[in-house]
Amino acid sequence: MNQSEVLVSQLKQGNQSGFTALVDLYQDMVYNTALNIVQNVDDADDVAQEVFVQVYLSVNAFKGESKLSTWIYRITITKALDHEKKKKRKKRFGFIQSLFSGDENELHLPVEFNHPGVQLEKKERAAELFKALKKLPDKQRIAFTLHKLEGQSNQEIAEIMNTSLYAVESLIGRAKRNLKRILQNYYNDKFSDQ
Amino acid sequence: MNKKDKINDFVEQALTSADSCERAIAKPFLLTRINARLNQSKETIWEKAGWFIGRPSVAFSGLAILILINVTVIIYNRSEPASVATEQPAQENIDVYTYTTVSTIYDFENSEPQ
Repeated sequence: MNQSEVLVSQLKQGNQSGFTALVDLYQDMVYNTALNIVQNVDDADDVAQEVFVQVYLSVNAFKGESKLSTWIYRITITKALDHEKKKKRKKRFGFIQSLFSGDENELHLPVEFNHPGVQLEKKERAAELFKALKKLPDKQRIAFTLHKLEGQSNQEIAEIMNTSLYAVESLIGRAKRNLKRILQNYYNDKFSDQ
Repeated sequence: MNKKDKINDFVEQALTSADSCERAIAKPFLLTRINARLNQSKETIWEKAGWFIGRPSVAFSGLAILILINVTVIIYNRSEPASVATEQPAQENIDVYTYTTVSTIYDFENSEPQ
């Protein structure tokens, strides 16, 4: 029995120390993945909590057909995307409300995201990359994020996304091309303004 | 360096900016917050029912339904003839009824002789 199998069996028996060990082992992985998607530290913390609550409540549904980390990655991605959709809905509703009330303070303007793990001299370019990432379709964004920021292999990404290796390679390739185009347009506008 | 080269350089820098990105570390006491959330999710059926009934929309709807039922009952009772009160007693009981209701001198004088 490897470590994750021991953790799962402990968790299935309702062992609290097993759950503590699981949180200790996976909290940074979950938090970092959520942060790369939602691009906000408080939201990422919220998502991380939701993920572990879900893991605790549905551990009996985990059959062990995939790795524990793969299962947790899937939950994290689903929760982070749901969180993002909810936030977008709220923003849209806030915008409509502000139109009627005329209160400009209710408009929540997007804040530039600085990933805490990026080197200081690269922070500005990284913020622009994260901004561009937001414009990608969900699948391309997830594949790129897992590959670039989580350091996962294409095979692992295929397992997490429940797709083929070829599809992952294609998604990453398209993500890179789209990012390049978005960034080129962005810098083009930026330099033409100056 | 012309504008196009500069843009390409910036794009390349942006695309490689996350290459050596370190993993972000979760905020401290995450487990405590998770446990608090788990305890919240373990509400009893009565707590859930109380929370549901306590919602303003549910509470006001319930109150409105209660008032509506009361008003309907009152209106229905008013429009219906008081059938029990006006019902004529059976013929054989009329005399008995008359005797028992005679209570004044006037009633005695005007009562029919047997």
